[in-house]
Amino acid sequence: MNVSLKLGRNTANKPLELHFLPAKIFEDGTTDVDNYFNSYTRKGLDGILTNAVRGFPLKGEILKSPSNYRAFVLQSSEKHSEAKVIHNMYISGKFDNFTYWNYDKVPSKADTYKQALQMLDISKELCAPVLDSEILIEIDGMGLVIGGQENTI
Amino acid sequence: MDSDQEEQPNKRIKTEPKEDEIKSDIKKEETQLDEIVQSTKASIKHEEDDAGADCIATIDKIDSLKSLGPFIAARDNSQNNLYFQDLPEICKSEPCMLGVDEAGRGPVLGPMVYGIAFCPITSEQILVDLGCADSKQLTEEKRENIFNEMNIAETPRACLGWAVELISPNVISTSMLRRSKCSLNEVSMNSAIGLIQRAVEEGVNIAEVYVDTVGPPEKYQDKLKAIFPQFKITVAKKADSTYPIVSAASICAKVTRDTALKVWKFPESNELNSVKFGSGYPGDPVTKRFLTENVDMFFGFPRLVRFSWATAENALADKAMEMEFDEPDDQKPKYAGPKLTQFFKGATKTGAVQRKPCRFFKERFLNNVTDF
Repeated sequence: MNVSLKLGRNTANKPLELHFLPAKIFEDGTTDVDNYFNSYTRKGLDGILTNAVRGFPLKGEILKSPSNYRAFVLQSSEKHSEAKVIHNMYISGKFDNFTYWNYDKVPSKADTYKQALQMLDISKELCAPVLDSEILIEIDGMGLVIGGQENTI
Repeated sequence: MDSDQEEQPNKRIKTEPKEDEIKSDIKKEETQLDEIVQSTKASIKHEEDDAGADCIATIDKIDSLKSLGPFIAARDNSQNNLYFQDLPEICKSEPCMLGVDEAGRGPVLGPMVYGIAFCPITSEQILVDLGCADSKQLTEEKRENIFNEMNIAETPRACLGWAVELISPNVISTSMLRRSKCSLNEVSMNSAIGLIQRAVEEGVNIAEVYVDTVGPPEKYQDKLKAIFPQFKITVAKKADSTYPIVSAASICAKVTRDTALKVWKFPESNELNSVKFGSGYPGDPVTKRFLTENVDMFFGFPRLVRFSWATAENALADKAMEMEFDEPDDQKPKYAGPKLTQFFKGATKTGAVQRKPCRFFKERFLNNVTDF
């Protein structure tokens, strides 16, 4: 399937205010986030933000997008023409940071969002080119371990 | 919930490396981001300075019915607020009785208010003279008059003390919907205990405590006795019609709740400030209309409403967007342990080996996606 990414200059520069909510929401729509939500954000002495959605208590923190990465929000649309599906994606905004919320749990390294981001490090390692000299060093290194304790680097 | 959390970054947030700028931009970017984080932080209120320093400076004492409204209006109505009236000196020396009662337990909206009142045992007649009787028999006007008298007239000021805690509907909802639920009874008892504790700290010479019960009186009485073994504690049903000191506490609580609703400010929108919401009892037609006509598709209701009430949940069920949170811990099905047969599931009947997704990806809810 072909997917094309359309860049719109005017929207790509608009910084968005984002909230990452621990809930599944089954519809799309717009709402008044400032008055219904932001006006109730409080910061405790421990630095943890608190708020609630529909009575469910939330604990959160402001997170930056991963360093060396840029974060965008994409919107997709599908057009059907003559048995062909044209799949377009539009950048509807970008953001540098967002508020991450947990349901009644202090944000920590155990949050699956942060765990998932470890994939960025793994993929970086996997994609980095390996030089022949590096392979040789690796092989030599293994030889050192097998060879005994007398050898030093 | 975990799978829900991960769906968002997968679907909506795409990150894009920009290899060429990696090193040169790190410093710059960090300072920029710090600035953004700083400014975002600045816009978030600190829990400590809830009402704004200027308001505290002007209205931090309630000396009549008139000042009750402005006092409440100046406070953050999404948090609990406790007010302890200036202590009459005599309450520190003379043995006192203390009454506890609440107002606004049943309604689907507004704060629940806990009140205590105390006076020397020998001054009980003053309560009767004030008209502290069964608070449910009194009209709103009568209650307000008594409350005003309590704070203005010289004799009651000299020997009668009181305190109230406004438990915000926002706090009620979030307590009842926590992962490990905190029932309304628990919220109530904690408030009552907190108020008595505060009276002890302020130096009230408490001898007897009278409490209008929540739940079975015996259990509640045992709980209070364990915490305050030094007092003579009486927990009873309808204590507010039996003991004048409980009536006094009840009047303080009821007047405070009524006033809190009158001066309620909606951060959600200015228009809501002029909408009538009625008594808050689910049977009240005005309340019913308020609940049907003021639904936000996403957030549901303004936070005046107690989301944990079945009435509120039902009103949202067919109107607002469907939303699913992780189930509270006590509703989750119990783990039954691994099944023995799982060890024989590595291959299909024809002998083909079934590959399980790598644990690293599985635990992080990451999938291969080719169609999206």
